[in-house]
Amino acid sequence: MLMKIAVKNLSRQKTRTLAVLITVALGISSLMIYHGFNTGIMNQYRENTIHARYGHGQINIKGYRDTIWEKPWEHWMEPDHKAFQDLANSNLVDNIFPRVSFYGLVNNGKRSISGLGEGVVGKIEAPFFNTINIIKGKNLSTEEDGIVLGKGLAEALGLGIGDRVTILANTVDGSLNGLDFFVTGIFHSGMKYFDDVFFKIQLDKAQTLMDTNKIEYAAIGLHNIENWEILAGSLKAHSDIEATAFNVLDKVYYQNSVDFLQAQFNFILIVIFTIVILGIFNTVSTIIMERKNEIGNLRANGESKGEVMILILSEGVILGFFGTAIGIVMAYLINFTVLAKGIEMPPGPGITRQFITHVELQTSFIFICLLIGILSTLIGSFLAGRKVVNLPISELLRNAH
Amino acid sequence: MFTLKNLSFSYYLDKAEFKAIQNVSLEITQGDFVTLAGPSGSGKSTLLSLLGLIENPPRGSIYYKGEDLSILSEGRKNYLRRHEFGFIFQHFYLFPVLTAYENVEYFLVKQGILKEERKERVHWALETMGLDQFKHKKPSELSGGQRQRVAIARALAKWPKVIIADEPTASLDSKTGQSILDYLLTINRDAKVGIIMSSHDPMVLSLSPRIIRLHDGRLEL
Repeated sequence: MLMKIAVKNLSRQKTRTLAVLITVALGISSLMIYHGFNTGIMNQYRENTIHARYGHGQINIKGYRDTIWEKPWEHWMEPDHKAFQDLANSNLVDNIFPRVSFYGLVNNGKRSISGLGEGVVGKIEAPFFNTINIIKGKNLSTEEDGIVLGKGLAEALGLGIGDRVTILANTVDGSLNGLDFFVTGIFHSGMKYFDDVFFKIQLDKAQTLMDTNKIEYAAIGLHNIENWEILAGSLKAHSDIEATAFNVLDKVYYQNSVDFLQAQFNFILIVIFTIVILGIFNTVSTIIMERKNEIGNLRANGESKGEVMILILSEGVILGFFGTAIGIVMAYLINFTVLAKGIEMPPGPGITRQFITHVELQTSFIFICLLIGILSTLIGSFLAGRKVVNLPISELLRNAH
Repeated sequence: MFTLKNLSFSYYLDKAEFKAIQNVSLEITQGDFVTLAGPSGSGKSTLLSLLGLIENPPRGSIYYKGEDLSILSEGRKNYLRRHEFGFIFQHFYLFPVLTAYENVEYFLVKQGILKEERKERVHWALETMGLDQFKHKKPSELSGGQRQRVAIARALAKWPKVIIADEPTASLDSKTGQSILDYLLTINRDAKVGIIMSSHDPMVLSLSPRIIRLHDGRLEL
């Protein structure tokens, strides 16, 4: 009976009911689209971070990343470490990318500039690390003597694609060693300090330069990002190894950006929530004031303040539910029509090119939207109803038509 | 049923006191048909509101079946209003979204009456008021007299001990008003339900078994 009256009451003030429904629907669809937009940006940025450099995470000897070592190679992993076999056998892992890094001099035949080199297995890295921003040539792949340099480093040495360079580096024993390479590609990460010093060569060449067969660390590519925690858990069997997720490795850029966007989203959420509550409060106040005498009659016939409030809140719940449902449908409609081609975005942190982001609406967010929609109408209805419910019955019955 | 001793009640308009009821003492017994008469502003509606627990406790005392109404909890007041009192207002206050049947049924649901008994009571009340053929009509589809009869049926179906009616005929033409009064007299006689109503309509007063006259909030002897 209560719900029947609530539904019928809503149908008698069609314009005002529609106004509340539109307020809720607009608020919820805005929230849903903004959440989807945020998710799209974050997912794209996450994929960019993973496929540009870090993979889904890395393994190294425990404590290696936290300490500055005089002779770091003494804390590198043996190539036959059991962890590599376990990773190779794991069905969670797509690929393992062993790497070493070293300082060396990059010489163009006329002058030398010190740089930070990294040895990688180009053949397996190239397909996975496909978001690196190569501005000339191509990424390092099967070229045995290939080298890929940062933009600043290449410009400082006047190097172009196909030019020859010599890398000079210390072996682990302290003697000087050198090898010749041909420029395969030039990249631009957008981080000047990185572009001015960084270069990549094949792993075996880097190991030859340093006269070692050890692995500094291995980046790991997974089939599914959700499986990182499972993999990291299984690697705990190796007490000398630590596994670190990409968001920890790139905390400054990735995690901080994600936290920043999340904080922004929470702020917008509060703004929309407040607007919806105020909008509903205003409309519901008018509706309830017009029903003052009716509420007076209910109170005169024994309805408690609580029971009258429940009737008012029931109407709020119905409005919240249907307003939210309309808002969700609106969000999907807008996403599949107006936003179907995505939104062109300016370069994000650590990215030098524009990109298209898609609004990724989350079904898991529907439940939260439903809660927000119903809660906002409940609060709006409560604030509006409280004024009338607390009036004396005689006051409610006065001013009859 | 009601015992009033030295009852006084004032309204305050800004800081000015308006004495609506002054030192009223009277006795209304179970099953009485009482009409409060007097000109506008004489205190009829205020006295009805005090008897029906619509106004807050006054100075002096009101007893209902020996119970002091001025010290009742909110819950007890709600109980009495829900189970023992029926109300009829000049402007009916029907739920515009419900049919005549549903309007009568609503407070029975609140009384916790089971469906079968509810059905019987609603049919009886509507039939008593000659409204059986209008039970599926909404208030907007009924005449003023029919609406007031629905309001009476609604009060009657509760099986109250007393019906408190504030100017129930004032919004109606004299013929309809007389028929409403006939219905109230019948209910009082057949269902043994006490009626306390206010009116300044001479026709109503001429047919009322007991009249209590008020003037400026005082009993007119």
